[in-house]
Amino acid sequence: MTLLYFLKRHNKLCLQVVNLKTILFWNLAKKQNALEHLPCLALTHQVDVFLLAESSDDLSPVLQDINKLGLGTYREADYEKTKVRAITRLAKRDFVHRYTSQGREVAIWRLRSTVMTPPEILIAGVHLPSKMGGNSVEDQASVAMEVSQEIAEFEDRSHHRNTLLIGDFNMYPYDPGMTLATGIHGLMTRALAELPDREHRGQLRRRFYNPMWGLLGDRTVGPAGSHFWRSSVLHNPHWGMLDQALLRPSLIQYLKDVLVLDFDGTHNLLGSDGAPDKNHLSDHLPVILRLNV
Amino acid sequence: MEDNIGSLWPTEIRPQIQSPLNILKAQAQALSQQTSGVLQAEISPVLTRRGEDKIIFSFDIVVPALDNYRRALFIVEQAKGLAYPATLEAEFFKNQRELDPFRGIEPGNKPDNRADNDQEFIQVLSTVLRSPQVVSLAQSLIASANEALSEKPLRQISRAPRKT
Repeated sequence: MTLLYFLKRHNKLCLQVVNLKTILFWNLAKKQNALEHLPCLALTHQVDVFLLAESSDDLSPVLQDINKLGLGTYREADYEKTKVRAITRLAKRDFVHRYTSQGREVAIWRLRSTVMTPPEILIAGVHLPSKMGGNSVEDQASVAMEVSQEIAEFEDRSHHRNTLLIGDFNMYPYDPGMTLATGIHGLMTRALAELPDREHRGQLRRRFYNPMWGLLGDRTVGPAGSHFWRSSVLHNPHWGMLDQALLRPSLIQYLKDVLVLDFDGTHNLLGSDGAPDKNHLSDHLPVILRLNV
Repeated sequence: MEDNIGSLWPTEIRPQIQSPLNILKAQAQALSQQTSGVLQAEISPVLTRRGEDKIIFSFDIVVPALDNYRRALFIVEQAKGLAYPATLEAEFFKNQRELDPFRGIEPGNKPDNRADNDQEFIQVLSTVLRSPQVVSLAQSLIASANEALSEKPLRQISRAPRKT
């Protein structure tokens, strides 16, 4: 009886480890040096899926380096060069590129799950326009509305809403595009995110949970944000959480943790001023999350 | 008396005018035929993205061999109840605008991606479908699909339907 209990418990623990999927997003700012940190990140965090924005076109050198570590066989997992590209060690049937938007700024992959119903989650990777490119907050909100609609349409086609939305939004969690009910509709608490869809002008607007709110500032684990803006302008929040991971309510209970990383396990990703080392690496820090799916 | 006046109606008003949707449907069918079904196209209405006074159609390529991978190629926007003018938004035009931000926005100039009748729409659509971006994308997707089909076990490809 005790042995049976042990086996059941042991199997459950094994199942939990097998189910754990580690996903890392990083805007590499087209810096080859940043790409070279991927093997350390893979080794330290057992990353299953890398989602990379502003990466170099040719990912084969870094794939060779990661595959020397014996952590599995990493491969590119996109059918075309989208603005967010995926590298994974998951099997082809377990991680599949499913959708790319017209401007290639939204790409969706299907990750096979053993606990969800239906047995899959959608991972939508985005890289949205920056204010630096001349876009106003209103322009960004307008793009956010379209992205939100596109994701909802793909969810409807997939007949579920088990969606993780991750990427460089180039918006803060509190920017209108991120919080508008007609935009991304990312809410700061689980309780708010789990409310029913909000009805607006006869349409139901689905919600996201945005756990990145909980990582802002220096009273939480990890750096104060994912990006640091060095500028003498009067209104400068300095640290910004431009890189975010949001979940639909159905996925919240499976979120084990989410963090902004300032260390790859061997090397510091910050410069001497304590901000992302933009001279040698990216001006963005990686965001990592683990899902028990 | 009446016969002497003749028709004052412009020649653009013809009995054979096709709506953007009909033209898109024909091109979806043509893509499937030309690629022996490796690439298919789906047109879906997107009613809600930009207000209720507009109708938007999304034209997507779907690749059955790649687990129904879907690539949004362009959208067509028209006013509700009016087939024309219709505006086609595609990466091709976006790239052109990036090269020349003032292209098509001078007063009196019509944007390159706007069609005021079916003949113009066919012309605009043809420009997009024959653009290097679309040709390259279609070729890449066909190559990936063929690769995926060749990797599938024989039993999945050649299994005959079970007799009942």
